[in-house]
Amino acid sequence: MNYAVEVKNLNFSYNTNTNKFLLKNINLTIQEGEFIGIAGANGSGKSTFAKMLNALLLPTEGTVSIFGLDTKESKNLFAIRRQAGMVFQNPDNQTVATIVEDDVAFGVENLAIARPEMIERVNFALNAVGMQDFKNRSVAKLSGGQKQKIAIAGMLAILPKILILDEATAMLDPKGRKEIMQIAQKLNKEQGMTIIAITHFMDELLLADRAIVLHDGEIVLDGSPKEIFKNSARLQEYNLALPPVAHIVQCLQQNGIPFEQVFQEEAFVEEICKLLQQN
Amino acid sequence: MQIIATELSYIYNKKSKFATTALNKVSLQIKEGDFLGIIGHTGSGKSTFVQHLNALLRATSGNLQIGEMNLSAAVKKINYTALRSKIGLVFQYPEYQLFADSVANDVVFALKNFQQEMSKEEKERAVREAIEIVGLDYESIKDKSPFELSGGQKRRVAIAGVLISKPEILILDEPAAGLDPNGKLAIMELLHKLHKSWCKTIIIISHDMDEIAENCNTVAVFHHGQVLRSGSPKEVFQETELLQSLGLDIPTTAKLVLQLKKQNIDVDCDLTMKDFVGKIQEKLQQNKRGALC
Repeated sequence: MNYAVEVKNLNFSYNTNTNKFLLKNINLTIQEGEFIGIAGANGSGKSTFAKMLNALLLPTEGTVSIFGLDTKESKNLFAIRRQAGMVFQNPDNQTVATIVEDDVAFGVENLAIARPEMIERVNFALNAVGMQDFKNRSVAKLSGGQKQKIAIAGMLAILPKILILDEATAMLDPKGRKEIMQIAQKLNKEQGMTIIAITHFMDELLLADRAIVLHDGEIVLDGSPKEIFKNSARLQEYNLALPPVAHIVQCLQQNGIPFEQVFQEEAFVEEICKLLQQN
Repeated sequence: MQIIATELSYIYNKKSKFATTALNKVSLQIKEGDFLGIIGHTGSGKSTFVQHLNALLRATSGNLQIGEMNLSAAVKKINYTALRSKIGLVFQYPEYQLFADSVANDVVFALKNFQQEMSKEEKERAVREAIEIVGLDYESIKDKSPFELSGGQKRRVAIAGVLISKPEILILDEPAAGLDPNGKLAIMELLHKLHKSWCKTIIIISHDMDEIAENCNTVAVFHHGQVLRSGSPKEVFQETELLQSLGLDIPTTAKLVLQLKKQNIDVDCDLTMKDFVGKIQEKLQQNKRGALC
């Protein structure tokens, strides 16, 4: 079986004349259906790495394969981009048409698909992100969160197997952020879509099955989010932090209180009740 | 300088059929020395309001007094140079506004308008001070192109460009957005440093409620062009239902306080993480002592 993503000995530099790589010695496999969160400081190579996954950038050394297709082979380009769809940070940079429906159809139009199927796919995609009522609205009058949903719908209409979110929630308000992450979770659970979400928000990382931390172009941590958050000293070193509840727990632990490491508010409250009853 | 807005209104496209009321009789007092957080969902009028504070927008009706300066709707003539050198406004993602060929040239730009009579040496000193206060090394960075810097550095340079005129009031729209967790902390530390030295009043717009609870002494909630609530974070975030009905979040500490309350555990804290941790600790220790007696 082919992996959804297979990266072997990847090194990358924008400038081919130097040995200073932005991505260094990356080896990684991602199974179909995984929900991956990728974190790292500004400049750690997260976005560069994401662009490797749909052949927007090509390895300087090593290989990147998407469902067994090597990104370096130009004949694979269209097949790869059909399978790995990417949504970027700024909603305003990702809309091309003036009407929602047209915008979602843009990618499908390029695939030369018959009109009845195209309409079907656009409807399916708008439904998946909960924007069916906005079909005939003007894109310019949508909020940032709504525009991001449209951008995701545009990808879904191509029926990709992998959805890459490159800090897709960074410019949204908390409500928009939550909705985008809910959509990603739903696509992952219900359709088995592979999700790769790059984020600065540690609470979003908690939603993933597996978290990967990049530091200075290298993978330094790879495991379940809870495992990764156990190592707060190393996270600090990589310019990251604990999610808020975990941070509070850690402060209590440092002050000598025997507190179980929890991540959710409910679990925190339970833990306090338990401690109060013990005595 | 104190800011007093009284029934301030602003209507976009006033004379056309697309007229939209962005501010609807906003009354708000911002005291000198405040560290104010403005919250509200997209389109609530937050940005429109702060743009009035340095007269990028002029009110359609109502009064606005900032220190000695009167920016009320009825006032026609304003000394923009004096106003804008006293009130610095940093937009969202300010690093996109960097334009000059070197960091020093970018930072000095505002002085060309504000202080035309300043000598070259004086300007250089001002640039050095502004670059140093934002935590960058003047000598090593001044001749660099702004475009070779990292995201966090660019943002600092952009803030230095606003600080160059030593504003008394500094307003920042989402100052920490898009930065990694440590970068966020560093920007907030910088704002506290400025609050103690150069700028008497700091106003931030933010969607991050933890950030607001952690850093601000006062909060104003905007909704449909009005200020629905203002007060300390503790007062404002008590109104969970109201905030949630507006689609706003509340800080993690406030959520925990609320859930603990449902279990009959009262935690009376100012909603900063430090105070919350301290109060929880007290509770647990008290309980232990009680058990031992």
